[in-house]
This record gives sequence, C-alpha cells and structure tokens, in this order.
Amino acid sequence: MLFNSIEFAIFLPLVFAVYWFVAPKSVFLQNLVILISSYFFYAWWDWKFLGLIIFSSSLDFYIGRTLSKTDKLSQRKLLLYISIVCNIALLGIFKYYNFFAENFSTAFRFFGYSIDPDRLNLILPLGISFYTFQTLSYTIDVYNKKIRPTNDILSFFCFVSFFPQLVAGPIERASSLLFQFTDKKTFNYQKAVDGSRQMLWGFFKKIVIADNCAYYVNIIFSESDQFSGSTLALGAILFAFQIYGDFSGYSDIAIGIAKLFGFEFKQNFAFPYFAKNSVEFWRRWHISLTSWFRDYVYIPLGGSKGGYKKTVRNVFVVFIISGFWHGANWTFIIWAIIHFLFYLTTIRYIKSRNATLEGNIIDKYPKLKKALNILFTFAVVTFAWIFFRAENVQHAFNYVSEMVTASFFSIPSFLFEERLQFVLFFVGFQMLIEWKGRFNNHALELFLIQEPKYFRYGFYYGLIMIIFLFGSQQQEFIYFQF
Amino acid sequence: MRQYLVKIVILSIVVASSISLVFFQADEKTDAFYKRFTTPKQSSLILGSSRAAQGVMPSVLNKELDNTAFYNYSFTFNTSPYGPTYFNSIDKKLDKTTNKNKFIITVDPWVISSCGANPNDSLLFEETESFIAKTSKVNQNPNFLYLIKGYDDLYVKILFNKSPYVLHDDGWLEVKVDVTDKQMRESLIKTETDYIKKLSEYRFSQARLSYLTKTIQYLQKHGTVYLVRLPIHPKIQVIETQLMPDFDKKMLKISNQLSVNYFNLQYDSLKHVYNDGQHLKVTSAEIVSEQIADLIKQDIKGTTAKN
Repeated sequence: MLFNSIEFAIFLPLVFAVYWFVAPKSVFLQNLVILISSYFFYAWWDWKFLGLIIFSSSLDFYIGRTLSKTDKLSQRKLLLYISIVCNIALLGIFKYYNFFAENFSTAFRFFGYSIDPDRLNLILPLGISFYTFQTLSYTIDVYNKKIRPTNDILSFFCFVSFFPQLVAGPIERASSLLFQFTDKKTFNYQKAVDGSRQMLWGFFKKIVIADNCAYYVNIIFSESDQFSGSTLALGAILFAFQIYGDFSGYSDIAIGIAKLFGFEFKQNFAFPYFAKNSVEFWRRWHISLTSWFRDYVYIPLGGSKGGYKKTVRNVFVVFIISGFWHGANWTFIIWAIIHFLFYLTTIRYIKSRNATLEGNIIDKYPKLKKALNILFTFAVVTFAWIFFRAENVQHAFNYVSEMVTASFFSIPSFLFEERLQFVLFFVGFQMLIEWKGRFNNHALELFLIQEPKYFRYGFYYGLIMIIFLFGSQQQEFIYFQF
Repeated sequence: MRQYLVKIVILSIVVASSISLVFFQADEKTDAFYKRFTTPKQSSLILGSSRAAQGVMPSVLNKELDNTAFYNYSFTFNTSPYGPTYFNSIDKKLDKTTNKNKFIITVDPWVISSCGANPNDSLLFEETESFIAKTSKVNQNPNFLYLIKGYDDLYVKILFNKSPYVLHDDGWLEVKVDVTDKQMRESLIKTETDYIKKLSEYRFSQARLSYLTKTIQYLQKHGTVYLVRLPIHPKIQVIETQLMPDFDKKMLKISNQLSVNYFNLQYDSLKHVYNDGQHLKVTSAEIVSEQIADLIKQDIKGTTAKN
C-alpha cells in the first residue's frame, strides 16, 4: 500500500479511529491494533512475505531473551552470530544471490572456466533491507548490553513491523522505538498537529516534486543518447530533487503518521542539499542508515582511533557496504566510491570536522564562500546520482561522456515546456521553505506559526490544492526497491 | 482530540469541495477520452482505436442515415484493442433497450495483436491497467471515477486547458492543429519508425481475434454490425502487411462466418490526407464517413458489395 494511494487514504483514518476510539484503554490493545494493521499494510503488497518478517522478528526476539540469560561470552557470541548470519542470509538470498552468481560466473569465464550457476527468479521482499537492519540492531545492542532485552513479544513485533516505517524506514533503534511500545499512548494534540504538518510537507515533496521530476528523469535517462549535454545535466539535477523529494518525503510522511499515534521517530533528513561538504552531507542524508553504519560497522572497526590509514579503510568499508545495501548492482558501488573519495577529500582538507550542521546555516543568507561550498557539494552529489540512477555501469559512463561535451552549454530540451517550468518553480519554492525551516525537525514545524491562524490555514489549504492540482501520476517510492 | 478532529474535518470538507469544483470544470477539452464517459448509454456505436476516434464522424453518418444516432466509442490501439477490457466497457456503454441499431467496428492488424511473452494471455494484455479498465462507470456526468483513476495528466490542466483536442458530444475526436506539409512528412516518418519498432514487439493474438468475434456476435443481438478497415498512408500499410499478411483473409473469414459486411477502405488510401500517416485529417474524415454511410445505405437497400 502506497502512502499516496486512495487505499491508504481509507486505511489510515480507519486505523486511527480504531486505535484511539476502540483500543485506548490498554497498551496491549493499542499494540494489537498496530500489529494487525501493520501486517495488513504489508500483506496488501504480498501476504506471502509476511512470513519473513515474522521469522526475523521471532528469531531476534528469542535470541535477545536468551542473551539476557547467559553471561558466557562464547554462548553470547554464538547467539549474536546466529542472528547476524540468519538476517544477512535472508538479505543475501533475496537481494544478492543473482548478483554474486552472475559475477562469479563472469570471473570464472575470465580465467577460462565456464560455469553457469542457476539464477533464482525471486521477488525482492518489500522493506527487507530496512526491517532486517532494525532487528539486527536490537540483537547487537542487547549483546553489547546497551539495552535490556524485552520480554514483551507483542511490543517487539510492533517495533519490527510498525507500518509507517516498515517498508522504507527510518531505521529505528530499539533504544528509542521499542520502549515506546511499552507505554499506553494518550492523544497529544500538539503532536498530532505537528505530525499532520509534517505529512503534508512530505506529500508535497513526493507528489509535486519527486513525481513530476520523475516524468522528465525517466525520459532523459531512458533515451540519454538522444539528448544534449545540457539536457543530461538537467536530468541529473532533476533526479537529485526527485530522490530527495521521494525519500525525504516518505520519511516525513512516516514520521508524521507515527506522531498521530503518539510515537516519535528520529529525524531522517536534515536538509542535506544545504550541506557545504561531504561530511556534513552524510550527517544530513538518510541519517538513520548512516548512523546505523557508524554504530555497527565504523565504530566496531575502530572508527578514527587507529590513525589516518585505518580511518580511511574504515570509511571505505562503510561506503562500500552502503553501496551494496542500496542494491546488487555495480552502479551503486561506483556511486559509493565517488562519495568515499569526496568524503576522504573533505576529511583530509577540512580544518574542523565539527564544522558541520550549524556552521553554514546560522546566517540568514549564506556568505559567498559558503554558498559556493553548498553548490559544489550539490554538484558532486548530483554527479554521483547519475551512477545511482543509471541502468548499468556502461549506461552511466555513456551518460557522463555525452554530458561533458560542447552541447553542455546549449539550451536544454524541455526548458520551455510549461510542466518543467512548474517543476522548477516548485523546486525553488521547496528549497525556500526548507531554508527557512532549516533549524527545525522538518520544514513546516514552526513555519508561519507566529502568523494569524487564517493565514496559516490558508497556506495549508493552498499547499493541499497545489498537491492536488500539480500532483503527477502515482509512482512508487524509489527506496521501496532497496 | 475533538479540536483536532474538528479542524481536520473542516479542512477536509473545504478541500473536497474545492476538488469537486475543479472536477466540475472538466469538459470536452479536458483530454481525448473524458467526455465519452459522461454521456448516457448509446444505441449505435463506432468502435476501434484512435484511427476511428478521429476518422469516423458520427455527425456525417447520422445526417446520411435515417433513424440512427451513431456514437464514437473508440479510444487508442493500446487501450481499446479487442479484448475483455474493451468488451466490458462496450457492454456498459451500450443501450440494450433496442435491437435495430447499427455498429461500425473498425479493424486493423494492431487491434488483434498483442505484445509480451504470450500474446494470448488476456491477463497480460496491456490495457488491463488502462483507464478503460479502471473506469467502471462509463455513463456519469461528471465522472469523478475517471478523473480520479483514469485521468493521467495534471489536474491544473482541467482549469487551464490548451489541449488541441476537442471531444464532440457524439464522441468524435477533433484534433485542431494546423499541420504544415513539412510537419506531416516528419510525423509520417515518426509513425513509421514507431511502427517498425512495434513490429518486433507485437504478434497476432488469437485471443484478441476471438474477442473481436465475441464483440461482433454480442452486438449482432442488438442490430447490424459492419466491419471497416480505415485508410492509412501506404507506407504504414506496408508495415501492417508485414505484421499480418493475411489480415484481410481473416476479416473476410469472419465476415462470411458471422454474416457481417467487411468494408476495406484502403484501396484509395493515397487520396486522403493524414496528420501523421494514420490519422485522417478532418476533410478526409468527412469523406471517409460519407463513404461508410453510402456503403451502409447500399447494404440497407440490399445491394451491398463485399470488398
């Protein structure tokens, strides 16, 4: 079920009504409503894969409980490895089997051996990369004694499958989300209003920005050999806004929905296109995944404690895993390598690594040097997106080589189309609102809050009508495929 | 909670009213299909793809033939080829209260072909995801269902429409574009290129042919059916012959089996003018419609000559 679908527009109010009017008396009933509705939400896509979520949830629940009963290091390690191996195996089978089979076959052919491994014709279960990481983090945290394991199976199953974040995150930690399921929720007006505002902004980013950008991105990328360099550059820039609008829009909707039910998720995007360097970008982009890699890969590998060379190695490992996490395609690996090199350059030359989130955004308008840094960072990130979006490596390199020609300086195609002009106008509008709200958890958190009510509600009404009038055809969220 | 719900309900009412107001503005210029789903059930239908939608004018036929009220219920070759989806839609549009109606079923190789691994698997037909499949109510004005599920452009265009299409009350689609000779030549080349590409993707579908037969038999219960092959540019004809060399034989076979007239109007294709090699310009559409009317008149008089 897509957030931007009629089915969901019926589903959400129904669940909301049952949650607050039928089951408000006990936490058990509230959690039961959450679990049933979450499984229904997932089953709407394909009920057969519910078994995987139940398996993953059961496994980590019981491993967590067993971990709490033993202090023997070897046993604890064994339990941890079982969890890691089982969860990664699920990912490996469904997401990576064909990729590795194909590449092994190619490698063997290169050395003169011919092997033809069977390919599995498997559908990638929706959200598997997200909920697998979420359950894994629970087991690792219990193993490291950062949290106490839960004995409440219903809460744990809700934690893994809570429908707003089940299929595309944010990847929540047990330390922040699991224990929210142990308290009975009471309706909080302020939180619900804030959640509704955040959902509204998320829908705007998804339906108006991302889906309209997708219209042009799909044309330009699918026939990239037909277009001038400037049009290809336009395609890359539009994709940058598409993926941001799509994914951060999804996160905003998910966080907003969670607030309607009294839950708090962590911020997943902190206005990443205002970052003035790579380090800052990665502290603002897909924060829940980046922090997951930091806590469960980078720091266990030694982080930055072992000197420059080890830091470089650890950063490299994190980027490569991040690339693989996004999909079984070499394009993601190259995307990750570009970001790694940019990150490396940043940490090599940046004077203060703490010059991150606040440094460039305190001023009402950025100073010229900071503005140039923001633009440069955006340019590199956009360049890397070409590899992320391309069908394969060859397509990506062709795209880049066709882009960097004399035609780069020509007038791009589509520029005089009304629809593109709308898109560019709304991208500008989005960036303006986000710039104003850049200190907050989301763009509309405090936007117009000091203004008279009629003005504020007029703005919300206008935004809803913009979503309706300028919303493009319903498209799936890009991150569903990961 | 109450305060929150009151605000949400008020906002929802205001938004729903605004959306309804926008939908009420939908008209003949909204797109090339909307208005066909807003008219009442019709007795005499013209069926087929966009060639028929633009090329067969009910106003001309109705003027020439007494006691008929033809309605053009044709769409495009990838949304209304013969199959279960189009059949169901026709069934909903047809006024079944009379049985002396007339039906013009236009045919060409594309509307009995299908792409994909199995051209006979009707579950895989591409129109199963189209607006025709999604629009289960075809006689409502305004038709919110179509606008919500079938309309695929920005809704803002309903308010500020500059579309070159005008969908007339009788279902005929007029394309109001002044095309120069140069543009026509360019469009012809583009059509050729598109169809050559489609040649490798499309194959004859026995399932579609069966549905064509089923459609004819179904409509015969309510009147007389005429099979018509509309003229197209000879260059496009060549491609169609490559796709289905025995197309006319197939149609003649159906014509004999089901006792329906088959009018192949491609014999004087060069006399007509096309926007793009396959869609007749208005002047030619008028001539072709008159030709069809004459052939029907001859049939009525019992002097029909099968082509």
